[in-house]
Amino acid sequence: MANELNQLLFRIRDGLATTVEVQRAHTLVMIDERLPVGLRQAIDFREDAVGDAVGLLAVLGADSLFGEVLREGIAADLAEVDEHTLEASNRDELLLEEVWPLAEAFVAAVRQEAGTIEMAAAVLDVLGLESPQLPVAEAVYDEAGVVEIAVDWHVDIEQAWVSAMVDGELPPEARHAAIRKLREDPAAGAEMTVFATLGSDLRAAVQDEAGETPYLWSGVAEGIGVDAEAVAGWDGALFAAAVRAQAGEIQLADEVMAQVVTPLPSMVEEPPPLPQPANSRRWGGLLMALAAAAVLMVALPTTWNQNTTGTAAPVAQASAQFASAGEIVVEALEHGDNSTVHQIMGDQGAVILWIDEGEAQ
Amino acid sequence: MIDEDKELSREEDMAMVMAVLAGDSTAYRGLVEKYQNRVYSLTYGVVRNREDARELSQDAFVKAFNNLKTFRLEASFYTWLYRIAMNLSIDFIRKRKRRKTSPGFEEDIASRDSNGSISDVHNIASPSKNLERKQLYQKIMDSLEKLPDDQKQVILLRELEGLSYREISDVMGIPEGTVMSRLFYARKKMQSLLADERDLS
Repeated sequence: MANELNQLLFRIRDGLATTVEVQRAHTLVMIDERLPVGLRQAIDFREDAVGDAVGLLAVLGADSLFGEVLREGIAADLAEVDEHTLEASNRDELLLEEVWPLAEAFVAAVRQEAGTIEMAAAVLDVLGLESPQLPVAEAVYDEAGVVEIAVDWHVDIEQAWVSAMVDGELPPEARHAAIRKLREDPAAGAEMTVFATLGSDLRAAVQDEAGETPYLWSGVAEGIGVDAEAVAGWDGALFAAAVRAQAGEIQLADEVMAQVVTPLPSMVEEPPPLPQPANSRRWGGLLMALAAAAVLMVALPTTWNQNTTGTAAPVAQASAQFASAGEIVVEALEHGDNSTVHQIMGDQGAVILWIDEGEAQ
Repeated sequence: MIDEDKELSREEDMAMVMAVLAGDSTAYRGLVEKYQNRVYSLTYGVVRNREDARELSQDAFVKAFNNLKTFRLEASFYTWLYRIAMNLSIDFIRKRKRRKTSPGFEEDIASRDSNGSISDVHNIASPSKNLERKQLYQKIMDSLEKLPDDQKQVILLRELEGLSYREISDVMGIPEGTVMSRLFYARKKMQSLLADERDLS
């Protein structure tokens, strides 16, 4: 029979018991000798069946809700509890510490379990925990505090709790009852899911329709009379003034130019000196004269006339043929990867700039 | 945003506000660039027209700048900014309703459709799924538009901006309990409107 009551109490606690089962549990409680008579009479599972079941399971030591120490203490001391003492007409005279020496342990256990305790007013009343003189009562109301507030819940909060729970904004005192309601009402859970989904869809819908955010600063800058391109804290005029202050009056032009404008090394290679004709001009002239004299002696006078310009035709041809600079055409240039070659046509002909960029970085 | 990040963000805002109040107006750019996305999304959610939302967002920033001297430094800059943006947006749609025209929205949507320039925020491989999603978004936005202004405000501040009830309470100047109930009724109404849409379709 004890086992059956325990099982029924667990079902009531978890919100699974039928009306018939609750009535059966009530009957069993009334005849269970493990419980003080006063307690058996006080519990009726009407106001708060879940709370009653939770309290009874703790008192019976069937649930670890109150912790090992308290359970053992309750079990050890229950036998010493006098029903007459519990039913004292003047509750103000009833000091829990006398009846139940482990009140302090009870308080400690309640504080530990504060988030999960739901205790019916009837249980608190019989145990004398509502007495303001008892520190246990204050501890219970401070830490658990569910029962009184649940009774006084405002209707609006009652209706909006699902929405607030989705947002994680439910007041602490309402959280326990909200969890209990979730157990009782699966539709509430479904509604929470709908609300949460609606939120994410709404965000996506707005972002999709709104498109990319336009860049607002230029319009705002115009509206507040600020240069949109100005950089915060960077004032060109201030900078110039700061440089002048630091630099002082310095004549830089000539000295700077001298240092900075380093003449570029000539990139134009001096053309190799033209090979001298095998015969020099000096000797060439003498030979020419001798040749001319020979020709004059044996050739027709017209031949001489053709040379009246006075230009001495070279007697000996140089071994190389030379073209003028303007006729040079660079057909191919080979250069390494770390050099740059530029060809510029100038008055004197082609100018080839070969810039060595040094080793590759 | 966790509390630590919020506090850091708040400190950044204060530094920029102080710089502006000290005379460096260019420092305001940091605040504009930080919040332009959120302010634009919020105003768009109310007015549902891109050009109007852009102008209202700019107006909100300009107004905030001009009234920066009245801003209480211990308060949150962004909730103060959102209040300005929200008030401007609500005033705008009220004036628009009085004119009984809403050309911007229809044109905007129509032009997008006719141009086929539908922004695809989500990488949807299937065209039919993309279309379904677009239709859902359209229904959601239509439902949002049918909400009373106060419910529209509160649901946008909560869902778009992720503001807490307390912050919404600061923005709208209403008690937190009122925020909770308005949000509940806004969601219920949208749920109901969307269910009606489903039934009709």
